[in-house]
Amino acid sequence: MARKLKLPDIGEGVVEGEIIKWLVNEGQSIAEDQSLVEVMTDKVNVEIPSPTAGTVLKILAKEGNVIKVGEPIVVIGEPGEKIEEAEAPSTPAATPPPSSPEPAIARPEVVLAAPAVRRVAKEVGIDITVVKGTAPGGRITEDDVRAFAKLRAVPVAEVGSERVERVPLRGIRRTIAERMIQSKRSAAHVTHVDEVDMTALIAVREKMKESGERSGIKLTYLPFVIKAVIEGLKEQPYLNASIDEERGEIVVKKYYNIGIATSTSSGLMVPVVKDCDRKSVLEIARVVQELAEKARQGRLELHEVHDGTFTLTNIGPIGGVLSTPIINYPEAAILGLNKISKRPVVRDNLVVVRDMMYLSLSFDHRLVDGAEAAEFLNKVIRRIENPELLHLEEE
Amino acid sequence: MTRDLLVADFGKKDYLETWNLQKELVRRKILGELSDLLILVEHPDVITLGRKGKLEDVLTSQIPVYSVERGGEVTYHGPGQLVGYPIIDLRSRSFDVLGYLRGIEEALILTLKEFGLPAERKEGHTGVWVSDRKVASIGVAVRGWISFHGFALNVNTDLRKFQLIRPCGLQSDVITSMRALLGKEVALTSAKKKFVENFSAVFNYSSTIHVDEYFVAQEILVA
Repeated sequence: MARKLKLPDIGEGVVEGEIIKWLVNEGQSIAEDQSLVEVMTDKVNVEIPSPTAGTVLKILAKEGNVIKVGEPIVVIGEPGEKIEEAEAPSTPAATPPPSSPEPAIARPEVVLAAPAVRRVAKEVGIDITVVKGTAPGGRITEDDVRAFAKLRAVPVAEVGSERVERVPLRGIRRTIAERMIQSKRSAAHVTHVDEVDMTALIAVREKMKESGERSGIKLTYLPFVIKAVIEGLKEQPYLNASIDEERGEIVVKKYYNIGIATSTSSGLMVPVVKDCDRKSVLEIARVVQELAEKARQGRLELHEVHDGTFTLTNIGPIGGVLSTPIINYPEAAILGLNKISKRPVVRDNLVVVRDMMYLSLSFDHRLVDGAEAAEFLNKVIRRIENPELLHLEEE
Repeated sequence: MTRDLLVADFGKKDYLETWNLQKELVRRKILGELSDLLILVEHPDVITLGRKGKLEDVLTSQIPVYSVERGGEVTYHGPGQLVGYPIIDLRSRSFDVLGYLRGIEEALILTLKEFGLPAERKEGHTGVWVSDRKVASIGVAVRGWISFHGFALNVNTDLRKFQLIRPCGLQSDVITSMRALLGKEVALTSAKKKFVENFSAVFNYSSTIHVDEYFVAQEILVA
């Protein structure tokens, strides 16, 4: 049976590698353990061996592409075996319009084409495996490639409808899509909501803002909330854990790396502020500011998005009453900060106006029970409402 | 489990010859017929391009250039530099390829510390650094889960030679040597000796066995 070989995990913490060089061609028969492709990560260039003997049916990852661990890179099977349509990921725009009669997606087991023809196909940006050959034996000629290119050049809009635009699902968007669905599929999501009175914290932040500005730091509420969260995590360690499914173990982390969901022009990124328990509020603010800036410029390095233990998502400034965030899997929980708004609340039997915010904590019920989650959030709230408990005097 | 490390000190040896030898040893090792082996060597002037190396980063046509299968960019090897090529089976180990990189760094850091140099890692910049200057470079290849290529530690390297390239995409003057840092020449043999001890300790070998070039040649001939 044709099997898709995924980029194997070549190191702890390695989430992606660059496809440097394919050492085999489509149609080539290969032995078990034969090197298929060079993949580079950090300063190591690793030749990935084939786990099985067979024939290279289709190369899915192109040279120069950065591939995530777990993404398919090549299909290996028996010669002549048909690759199911579903097996081939995103054939971007290479599928001819449905009205075209001849060069339909007849995928020959082995693509017969001279190197020069392959080069032409590459130049015009066509996946040669979807071209039907007209020469004897199904061999693909240069004319076949050119004819196919012409067909493909017909803009989609003319053939289909102008009421939709088809955008290939690629890059960060694709990663987001995969990670989100992996989280929803793997974790038992529950969202617990409570409200917090931000009035005291707003006053403290007002006081500290200036000393931040002097060192060029724009002090938001986020670093304070991170501090409060750390204290909560220390008391409820399972909120800072993850499940190692392979070994059937709960991994409780004794370090506090807080991911900050950051929106960028290419989509959501989650840079990680490392060892928050050992940083002051201003230090956290500085790192958050730097990482957010790098994220927006698309300059985040691998180690800056790695190894988070808990995530915060601050949707509040944009709007909404409350959100139900998706856990940044395999972490145990994510805390959503919603809009801060002035609301009438009852204090000592009097209706007063306070700065209120809803907090929504999504947690993995496999690891954490509802009572535990509620207690965690209570602890966080108590510290936000009583900022003196955050030991800010050490600033 | 006892684990032997063979150490082969080639002295001065041509790059191409050593490279071919490495590939041959890897082939043998994939068949499982060879112990882990650490090659130590000093090359004549040579420039190598890793898989991310660009020819534009080579600024000379006076010395030979090889494009090789290791990770990383462009680097220079030459007299006074300790070059090491560990040919190790990564499958039999508890670490992975990144752990392996960190291990090489660790052995180099410990060695430099023995010479009184405060060597450290720099996050995101593999290699070994002393006060923001790079003293050792690392570039590794893995075939059949056997490592080859390795590291280059500037002991008494003539640093002016780095002007001939843009090393690892950095400015040439970022590169330093033990001699430049200590203000005196360091015997290559003592750097080698200390490195072997540290490498053996970091990678948990029970013993190190020194072999000569002849032994290595025999190993290949037997195959």
